[in-house]
Amino acid sequence: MSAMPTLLLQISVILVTARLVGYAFRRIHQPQVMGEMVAGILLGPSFLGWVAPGISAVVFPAQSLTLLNALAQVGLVLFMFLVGLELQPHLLHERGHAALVISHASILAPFLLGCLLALFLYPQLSDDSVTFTSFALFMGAAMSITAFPVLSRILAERKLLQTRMGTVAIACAAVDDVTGWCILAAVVLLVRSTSSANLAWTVGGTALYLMGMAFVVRRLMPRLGRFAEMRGGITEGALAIALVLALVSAWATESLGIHALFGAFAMGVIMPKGREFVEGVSDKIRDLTVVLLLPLFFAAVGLQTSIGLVQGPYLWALTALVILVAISGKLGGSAVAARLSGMGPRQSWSIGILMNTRGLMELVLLSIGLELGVLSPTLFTMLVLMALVTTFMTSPLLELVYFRQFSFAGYLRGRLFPPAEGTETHLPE
Amino acid sequence: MRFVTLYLVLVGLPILGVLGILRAGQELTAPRSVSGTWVAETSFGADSAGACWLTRLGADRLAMVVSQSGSSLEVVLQGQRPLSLLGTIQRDRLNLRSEGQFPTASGAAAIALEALLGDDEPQHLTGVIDGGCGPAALQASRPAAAGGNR
Repeated sequence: MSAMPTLLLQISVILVTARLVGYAFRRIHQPQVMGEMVAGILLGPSFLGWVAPGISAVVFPAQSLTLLNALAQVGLVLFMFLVGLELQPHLLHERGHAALVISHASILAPFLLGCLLALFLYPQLSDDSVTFTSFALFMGAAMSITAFPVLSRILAERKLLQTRMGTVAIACAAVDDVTGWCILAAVVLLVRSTSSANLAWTVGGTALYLMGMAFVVRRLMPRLGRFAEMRGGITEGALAIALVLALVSAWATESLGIHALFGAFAMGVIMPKGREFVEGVSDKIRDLTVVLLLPLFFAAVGLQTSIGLVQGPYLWALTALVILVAISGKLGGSAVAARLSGMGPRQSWSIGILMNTRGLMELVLLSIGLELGVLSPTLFTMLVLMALVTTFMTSPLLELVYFRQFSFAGYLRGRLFPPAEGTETHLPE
Repeated sequence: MRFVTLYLVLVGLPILGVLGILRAGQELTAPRSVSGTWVAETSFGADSAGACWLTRLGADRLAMVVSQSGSSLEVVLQGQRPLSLLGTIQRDRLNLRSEGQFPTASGAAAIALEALLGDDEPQHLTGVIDGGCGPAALQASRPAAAGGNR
């Protein structure tokens, strides 16, 4: 089959599967994104390639995946631009001492445990082409990440944004997101710089890029905001300018050797933050990105995830250990920091539960690790499972701890046969 | 004052811990890297056993793609009829076997590949592939630094 028909078939299969599994997960009160992540795994060697290898070989032949991966990467660039765009800088400023302590502790506790785990995993699941420093810093970053977009929607739909717990959680997640991506950029720089000349080029170029963004591009941004305002909203021209800026920024960081996603995210962060501008751009890009392109990324991750690689009780025990460390560091670290900062036990644990949501952002980080060669295929699979588990557990745990209405049978019954509209709170997509 | 103390304990101590771990980890060693694509010397296939292997794989030249997770390896011998082998690397020695048996002239046999990894760059390995076609000597090399710092 030639490339185009195969690609069209792949996109159709991925979209149908993502929508169906996403719908099924919504029925059990899980975010749509959780279902789409699982749909990606189902389309890969872990399920489709295992139960129907013939169909898998026809729909996803190995030589056809380059195009699919390229489209998925474009989707990620747009998504990271949206994440940056929707990030409100005022959230990064502290909301009292508690938020400052909790946000920093919620990064460093899991980071420390991730590095500690690296001591154990490096000799077993890595190889000598990866330095211990790169491996440990990457494991730390993988344990620290929070899915800010999922978390903010959970809070919004649960009407928790205005509560103290909500404001602290959202501020911490915003700080975590920015810090996590900065740490990851440093790790990528470390891994990709194979010589001192290369390192000097990347560091010098990145410094110039950041200065250019902070002192030149950022100062031009109000003009873009006014340009849109004068035309009564986001016109096609204004949207094109925003997109070109995001793509050029992504190209710059990719060329410098620190992934394209950082450039897209950074451009989103410095875009005008007026409500009309943000919502206007976001509305025009979001649907296509979230409905069409992100499922392609989930499928690309799923096609690289082979649960069969986790063979035997020992590797499953290691997977359980990875999940345990991830939960202890993020959920435990955030909760303990919140408690010590004077918040109540229920609020503290709820913050921990929310911060433990890794979701899509974790998959983005892991795909970068696999691409760089820092993660071996088996460790990548273990960490994907960790991302799924920590995202899946958020909704029921939040109900159990914050809303105190949990029984697993009741939870499933309530999701499969929901009561009439208006009598139930819904978790977001 | 309470928050300063709290900050030092919850943030300062973990930073020191991370630095300590990074220092301690420098002593650790991981298995040698063999992941990537290895291409056999053109002399493979000159003898009857080598030629039999190439016919069996449906390839003009023997190439193998190695996927590595620590000491565990998965090797795919490329061709129109690719073969997959699983195994390990222990120090410089690779030991791989096929999961199932494959038809041969005298019944069925598992395929085994044993090789020693050289020290020089570009990396090379020397070994024997056996099972079905009879033992065939194999020398293969891998281009340096295939992807990232791998």
